[in-house]
Amino acid sequence: MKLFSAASRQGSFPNRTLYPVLLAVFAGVLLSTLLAYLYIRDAMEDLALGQTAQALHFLDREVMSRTRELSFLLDLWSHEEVFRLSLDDSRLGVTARAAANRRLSELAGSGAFDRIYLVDAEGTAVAASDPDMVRTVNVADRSFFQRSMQGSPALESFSAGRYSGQPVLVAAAPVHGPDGTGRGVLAATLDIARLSRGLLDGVRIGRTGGAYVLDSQGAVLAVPSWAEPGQFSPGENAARIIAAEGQGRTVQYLSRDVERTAQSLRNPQTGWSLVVEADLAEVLRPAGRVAGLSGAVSLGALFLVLISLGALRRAMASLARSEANFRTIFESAPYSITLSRLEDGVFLDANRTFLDNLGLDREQVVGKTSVDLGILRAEEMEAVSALLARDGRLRNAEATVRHSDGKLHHIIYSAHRVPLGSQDTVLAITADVTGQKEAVMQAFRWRQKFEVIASAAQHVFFDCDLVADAVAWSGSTREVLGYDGDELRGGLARWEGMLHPDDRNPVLERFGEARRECGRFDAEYRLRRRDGEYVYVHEKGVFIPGEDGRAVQVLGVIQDVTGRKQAEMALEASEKKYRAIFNNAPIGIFRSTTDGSFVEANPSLARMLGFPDRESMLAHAADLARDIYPDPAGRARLLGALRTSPAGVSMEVEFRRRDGAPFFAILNAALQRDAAGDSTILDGTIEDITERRRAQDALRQSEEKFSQLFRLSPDSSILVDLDTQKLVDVNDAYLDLFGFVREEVLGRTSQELNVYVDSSRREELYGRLQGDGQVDNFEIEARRKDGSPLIVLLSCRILAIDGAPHMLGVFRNITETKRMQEMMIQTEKMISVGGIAAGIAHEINNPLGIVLQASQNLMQRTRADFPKNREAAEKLGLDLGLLEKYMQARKLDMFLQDIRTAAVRASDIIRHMLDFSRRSESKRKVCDVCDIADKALTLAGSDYDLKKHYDFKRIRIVREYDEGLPAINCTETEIEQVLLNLFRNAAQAMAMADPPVAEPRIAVRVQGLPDRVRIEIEDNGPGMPPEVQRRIFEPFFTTKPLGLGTGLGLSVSYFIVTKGHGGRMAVRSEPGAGTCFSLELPVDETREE
Amino acid sequence: MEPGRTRVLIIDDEPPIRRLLLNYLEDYDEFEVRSARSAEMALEELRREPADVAVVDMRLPGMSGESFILAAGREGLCRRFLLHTGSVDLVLSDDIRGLGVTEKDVFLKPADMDELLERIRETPGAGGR
Repeated sequence: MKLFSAASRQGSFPNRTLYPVLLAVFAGVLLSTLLAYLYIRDAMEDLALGQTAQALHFLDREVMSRTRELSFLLDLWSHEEVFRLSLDDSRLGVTARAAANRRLSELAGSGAFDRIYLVDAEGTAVAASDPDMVRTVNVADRSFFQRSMQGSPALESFSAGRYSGQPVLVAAAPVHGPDGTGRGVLAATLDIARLSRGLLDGVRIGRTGGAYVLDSQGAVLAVPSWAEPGQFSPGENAARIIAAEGQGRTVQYLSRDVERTAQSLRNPQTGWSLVVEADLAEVLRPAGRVAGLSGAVSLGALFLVLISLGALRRAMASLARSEANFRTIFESAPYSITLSRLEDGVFLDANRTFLDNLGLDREQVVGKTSVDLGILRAEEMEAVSALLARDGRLRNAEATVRHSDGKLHHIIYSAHRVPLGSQDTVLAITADVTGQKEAVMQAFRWRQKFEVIASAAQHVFFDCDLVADAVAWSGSTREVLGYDGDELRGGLARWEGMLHPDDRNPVLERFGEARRECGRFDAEYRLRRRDGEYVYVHEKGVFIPGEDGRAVQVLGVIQDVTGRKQAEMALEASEKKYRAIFNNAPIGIFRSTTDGSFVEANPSLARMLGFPDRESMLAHAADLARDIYPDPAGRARLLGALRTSPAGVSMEVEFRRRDGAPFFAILNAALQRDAAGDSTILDGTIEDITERRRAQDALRQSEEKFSQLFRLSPDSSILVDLDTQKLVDVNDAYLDLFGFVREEVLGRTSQELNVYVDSSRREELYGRLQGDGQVDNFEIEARRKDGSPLIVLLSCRILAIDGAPHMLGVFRNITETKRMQEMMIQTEKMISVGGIAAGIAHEINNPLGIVLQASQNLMQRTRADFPKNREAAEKLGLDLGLLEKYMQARKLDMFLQDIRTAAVRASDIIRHMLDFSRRSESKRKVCDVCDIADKALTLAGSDYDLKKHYDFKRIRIVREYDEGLPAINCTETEIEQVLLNLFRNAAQAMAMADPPVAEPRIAVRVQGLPDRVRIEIEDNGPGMPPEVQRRIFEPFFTTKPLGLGTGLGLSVSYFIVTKGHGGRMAVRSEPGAGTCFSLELPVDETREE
Repeated sequence: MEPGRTRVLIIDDEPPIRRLLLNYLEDYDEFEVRSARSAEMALEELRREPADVAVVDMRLPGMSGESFILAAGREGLCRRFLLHTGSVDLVLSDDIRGLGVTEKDVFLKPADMDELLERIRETPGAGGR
């Protein structure tokens, strides 16, 4: 306190002039004490006022911020579809109102408002969080309703609400119809007491001071919860308080005999008057105390001077002590006090509180300015100096100072221009209001409720005070960023630090731009979460202008859009993938206009069309119909097809390469509709099938070739579908073999065609084919269409044709071969019979000789006319005549004859058998066949056996002999024997026929052929079944009754003709239609002698 | 041995056939009949006393009928030979034919003895020695 020390230092007096000096000193002390008191009191008062104003200011801002957020919420909700529908008169409206009731209770339950209700255009509540309100509350006369109906959100306070009777704040927002007109209003009510409690409780000045709310009529709307009844009740003074609001001055009045001092501020949003009030005494107490102390010290000093005359030293000491006391006061005051020069603001002195707060030594401060120390900016410093030069004082200016503890402190300071000697100095007193500010902010715990709501939307809200560079975060900070709101506290730099490096510059640029224009900020960017990951967010912010029109605050909503962003990126990746397919696909892909130009095409298509790359193709093919089709009609055909089926066509198209070469492709295309619904775009793919087509052509040619082979093959071939067993195809050789025409056989089975004589053979064939997959040389007894027999060999394979199993079969006709084979077997049999007969003939003939000769001896030695017999009989006395008669009577002679006959027959058989092995060439000579036939017929007519069984004369003999027959070389007796045998057989067969043949007839034909003579013996007897025909030439096979045939006649005949004469012998017969034997004898010149 | 009677020798290895022929011919007084069961024995008999006619079985144990005929013919032991055989593959060799044997002299078993008797009676000069 240089003021005092400077004054005291002026006292420099000699001992002789003590009293006048003392007196002067006393007067000086008195004056200075008085001055000091007045100044200090003034400063203290200013300081107290400053504190009050500060509290008001914070209160105002919080109320504003709170109500703005309420309006924001309500506005948000008013856009919900359910409320719009609830205002509908339709049945939908009824359902919607039920849903709206539920929704409103849910919203009220979140705690932001006490009651929320929806009113229609008539002002009647149609839905509400509280069911009692529906149809009972009408707000048509309220101005908030009228303003909202006109489209603007409204906020209105009532000292007595219509529903609750308590002071309430009503927020209203219009509900728009789809056409944008107001349909109704969403209104929300909040009890002011509840709202303000949190706000007001935090403001406390001394014991008696606090804040409260008045409405525009002066009625008390809210007081702190700790207030005693009547503590804040200005009564008729309310009008004075309201009248003074915003002017920075206090109003003093008497309340319950206590002088109160009040200051007020009007909140424009709510129309509330915010009042901070305290006992005047309490406000001024510090100033009084300092002044009192100062006065007391001065008086004490004076008293000592008066009492201790002549005690200058003591007086001086006392004075010095006084100065020390003042310094003590200066130093120990809880406020920062500084003394500085007016002209340049250089500090002359500063007290301990100031130094401690800043963490500096006095030496570091003295000689510096506030600008140097970073307390004020240069322009602020200039403004302060100008103000002091004009008004001489400054009250309650605000500033932010960073203390030595690193924290940012909010201060208010007041300054007075003090002339000190020749110098104009400034005495400044500073109060730290950080604590109060924080206390106020801490009080607003309602924010948490808001955050609960906000978190449901995963929104982060932030409120940035640009002046104080303080950002408050709320909402789903934990969910989105991984931090709690408190952890994010700090300036904008904190937010900037979280920006993704790539986004940082553009975002800050836009942020700065919006700030300059004080407009809206809308950006998408990435923020780093606590875990280091980045989230995509969408921020919508609005800058709020201060009094000077510059932005002082930003309110923003940050939405986590990572999900959407990832989807976008996935889309982009997918797009990339499809582009890769597009570029690398082996087929051509294109998009073109119906007018005939490419919009896009891939490299494969360019290659197909003979271009080096896609770009040169797009450049060259200006008119598709002309440039890539050999004929524009090709494209016209495609467009025509697409008009018929726009969803897609697939067709074979011929294109022309750049070099003019044709190129065949399958084109798949579809029309795409544009936004206007017109089809001007067609998308499609083009697949090169030139190679495939070439292969198909080759295949077709090959197929034709093989088809020809099949048709013209000399082997009878058939193709049968194995599943249906139907004939699919046959060749000409097959038709020739079986006697069908093609149309008769295709689509039918061999069963239906009745080809098989024995259908079980057919089943066996198919069984083996299915089992082995192929069958070779399967012998089948078959029939032609006309029923004539065939013997065929079938070889077949299973082939898959068009995926279905087929049998390819080839027949070989072996009928003739088979017949030859049978004949050879026959001949073999007879030769072997001959061999056997030759071997045993001697052995059998000897006993037969004995039988025959013994019977001859018996007959001879019983004859009566034989002399030796008579001689022997006479000796014995036997009458041979009687013996002969006896033998005749007892038929012994016949028995002997039978023995003899049997022996002769047996020897005949042996002799016939021997004929098979006998070579009789030596007996041959040139003969006339007709003569032989006639002889045989004559023999037959006189044949003993024939006569015995039937009359050969009854049979009509037809002779048909050709003229001029060649003579042949043969053994006459043998051929005669053969013919006789045949005549005999024919006659016997006709005689034994049942029923008997009415007109038996035997035709004998002799025909001359170029190299042989054919003899046919045909009867009209009963004929023979096939099984008999087959065995007819077999040795010992006979159909005659036992004892009548030896079974050797025909086989010997066959042997004589074929073996003996090199001819042929065959039989042709049908049951009921007679039998015809034919024998052919060769005309062999060499055999003629 | 009565003069004027034809001397017949029967050669057969089967006794019944020898006996039946012998008995049959003995009923006629014009023959002097002997028999032998093998060619060797027959030759022995003929060497003792030659025959006019020999009825020869061709298939004989030891020496065959043909060898016998040739031997007897060469030695002049018999003038005529009748072949009485069960064989079917008989072929008259030129040597035998050289002895005056023809197809008519061949009798296949079972042979009718009446026919055989006729052929023997036709033998020229029988008993004319």
